[in-house]
Amino acid sequence: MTFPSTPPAGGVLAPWTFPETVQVQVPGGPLVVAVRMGVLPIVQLRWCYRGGTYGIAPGLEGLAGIWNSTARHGTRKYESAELAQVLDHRGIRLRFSTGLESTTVAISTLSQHFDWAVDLLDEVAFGPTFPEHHVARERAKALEVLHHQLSVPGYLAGLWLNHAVYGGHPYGRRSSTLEGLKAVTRQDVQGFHERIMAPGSSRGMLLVVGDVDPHAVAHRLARRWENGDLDGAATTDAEQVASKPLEGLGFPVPEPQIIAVDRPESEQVTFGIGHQTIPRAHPDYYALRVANQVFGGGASSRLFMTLREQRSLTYGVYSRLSAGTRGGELSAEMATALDKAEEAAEALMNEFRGICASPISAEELTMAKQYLVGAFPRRASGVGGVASLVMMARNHGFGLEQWAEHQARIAAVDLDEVHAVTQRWIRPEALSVVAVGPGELCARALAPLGRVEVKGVGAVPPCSV
Amino acid sequence: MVLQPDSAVPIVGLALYYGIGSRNEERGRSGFAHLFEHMMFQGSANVGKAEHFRHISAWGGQANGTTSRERTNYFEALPSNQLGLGLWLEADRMRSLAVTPENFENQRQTVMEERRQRIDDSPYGEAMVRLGEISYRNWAYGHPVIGSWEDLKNAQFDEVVDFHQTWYRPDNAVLAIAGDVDVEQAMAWINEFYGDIPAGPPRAAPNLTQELRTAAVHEQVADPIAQLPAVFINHQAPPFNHENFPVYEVIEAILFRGQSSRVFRRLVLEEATAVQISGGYEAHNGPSLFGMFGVAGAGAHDDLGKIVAGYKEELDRMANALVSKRELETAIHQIQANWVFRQEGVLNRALALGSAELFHADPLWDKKLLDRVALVTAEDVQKVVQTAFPQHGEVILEVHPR
Repeated sequence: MTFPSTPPAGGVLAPWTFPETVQVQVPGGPLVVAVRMGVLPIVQLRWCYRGGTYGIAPGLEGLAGIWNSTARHGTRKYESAELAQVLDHRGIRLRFSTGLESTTVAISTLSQHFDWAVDLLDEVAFGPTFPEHHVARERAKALEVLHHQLSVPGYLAGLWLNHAVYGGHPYGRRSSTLEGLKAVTRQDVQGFHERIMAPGSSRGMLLVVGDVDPHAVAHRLARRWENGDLDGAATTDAEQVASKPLEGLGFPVPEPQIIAVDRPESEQVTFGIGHQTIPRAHPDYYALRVANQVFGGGASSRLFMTLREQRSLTYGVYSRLSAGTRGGELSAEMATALDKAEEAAEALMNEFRGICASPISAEELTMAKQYLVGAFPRRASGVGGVASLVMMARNHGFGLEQWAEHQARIAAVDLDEVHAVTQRWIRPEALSVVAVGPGELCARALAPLGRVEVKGVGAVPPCSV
Repeated sequence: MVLQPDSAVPIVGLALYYGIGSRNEERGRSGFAHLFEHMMFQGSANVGKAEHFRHISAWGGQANGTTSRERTNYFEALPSNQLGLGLWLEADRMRSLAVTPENFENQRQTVMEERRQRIDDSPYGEAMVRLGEISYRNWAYGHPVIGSWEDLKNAQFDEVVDFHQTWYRPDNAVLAIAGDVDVEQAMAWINEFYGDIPAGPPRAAPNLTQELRTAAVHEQVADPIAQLPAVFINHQAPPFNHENFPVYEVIEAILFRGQSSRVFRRLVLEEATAVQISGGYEAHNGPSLFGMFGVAGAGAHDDLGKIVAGYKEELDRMANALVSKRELETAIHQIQANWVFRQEGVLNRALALGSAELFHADPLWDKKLLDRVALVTAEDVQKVVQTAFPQHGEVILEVHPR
């Protein structure tokens, strides 16, 4: 049998549909959402709240992280060790997380423990007691971890780039600082918890994804709250802050910065480069997403093919379109050998210039769209992935029907559109660039891009808001 | 070949495992198996340089490869209507490579950047290389998968073809598919694409022996990048075909899994001598290890011995007294639940099936292990800890910020 020189033609792509979902809005209370994913006997339950690090007072950077790690160490019903034992005995995973604009408490469990897990989720979400000694230990641990992170070049590059891109805006705020961590008290942690995790609040969403009957579960869980102590449509401080117009976001952007961070012991130079761009709800979002895929979205992108496969400058380089509710950012990162730093800086900048100067071709457009359309079902193939999609829809204020249309919206992007958004939203002249490595070498590599500011060993960006 | 149909989502996962890893390398050639993995993306008879990713990306797929001490794998997740593409791509590069000295040099440079990024410029990176060297009493397992700088520089392009013809043969490979697969169609493609690829020549068996360590090793290294002191502790352990494998799994869970685990609770939560603890059974089908890694908290910055002592006292406690019924149940439940969670995603399942078939000639080995774990007793745990963690055989590596 002769081996064919081309792959077999693919059959018809099976359509993807969003899993069966039932939503019940408790009047004046939380939204309950249940999604059926019955492949495995597992369920993920999440309390998702609007409000996150965005509303934390200046000087307390790190407060959310301490809340995340301390909330499991004691509730009204369980001591820290007791809670750990009951969780581990059932193989249950518990996770607290806080983003800029949302906060989550999530439990993943085998479906046989579902009923028990529902009660436990409420206990850990609404009943933490934050014993003083646990707060003190987690604060000390967070300080040590931050010391460690400040030795990681990628972390340093991200820190400075974020500051350069967003200026003093809360989007550019550091999630934790040594000073902020030291200042956080037990009362701050308790206060943060009470502001965000209000039981019965209409800011909350109880989400269940997995091996459940969504009709039965959504209605049953909603009934638990119907006669409860509901808070109507109250807003939090965090929401009030988040709803203010964000000065400085969107073009015109803050003055681009070129920063060399001196890390004398480095074996590589790590670059971060980026600028602000549009929020998730912007009409240009889908076209810009396609443009980013062509530019640096994977191992077939322009960045990867040129900088790694043709020029051997790096192990990996990708670009990222990060679109929040108020604004977003287009950025890229790469690390290169010390003796290639100058070449790499120039090459990276040239790729940004190139995506504007050399228009995306019809073939590139087709490839990028096919990738994004075909990849979407993978994103929604696990309980965690589906839960994240539901959360994202709520945080960005669109309905789940938008996910059903997601592939069609990507497929509808045409060449004119993608060219227009590339010109509109990718601006080489607005790029801030950070290089972490031996200071003098970094400064030399960045010099052709503009006036270089050299930051000393141990320097970190200021935390103004 | 292993096929596991599941049409819940229109996605298919494909994993191709080859029985070649860094343990098969000769002295002076360290890192070649991994460098060769990179070359597999540089072109074959019908697929140009870097076109593998383009083919996969064009359908929204995901692809990559990894190299470990004992195997190299290549994998794809694809919309299920593109399974034929995945099988064809893997077959094309199993049948032939079409690479050039220029591509080889390009990938040598890429791997050097990978080494800088993962090891040379990463906290504790160099220490982990040293840890392998002193923990294994067997060069085949003790040298780093990514290779030494000297060997990477000396790697020769003219060895690529021979390496491919020796190791990348169907009689040294396992193909696993999980997900939305039409078994009849898949088998037809497999026969068409792979059926006439000849078997390889006899291959040298790796060195699986390891002398029993009779003297403890205690070293200190300075790390110019790390900010926090840290310590590694390793003991020799049996390979994964040993009857005590499930007992080691249970010991690992009791010591390290979850916030109720003994070592985590003691060192991180109660004594706060560590800010991060990880550890467990690093099982191979040759020399294996059981160990831990602890990053010091403020209370142990000047004395990593506190972490070492805490860990060893927990081992002593397990040797001197039976673990409770509830603690044993907790460990078993955790192992069972983790197995279920790991089944999420068809690519994960294909990878697990392929690995189990390659190493155990049984794709369901992992699942059957759960039954063996359920039979582990408190006496089994005590006996293994009493006999298999001798102090004279331990390796301790302290890492101090320079």
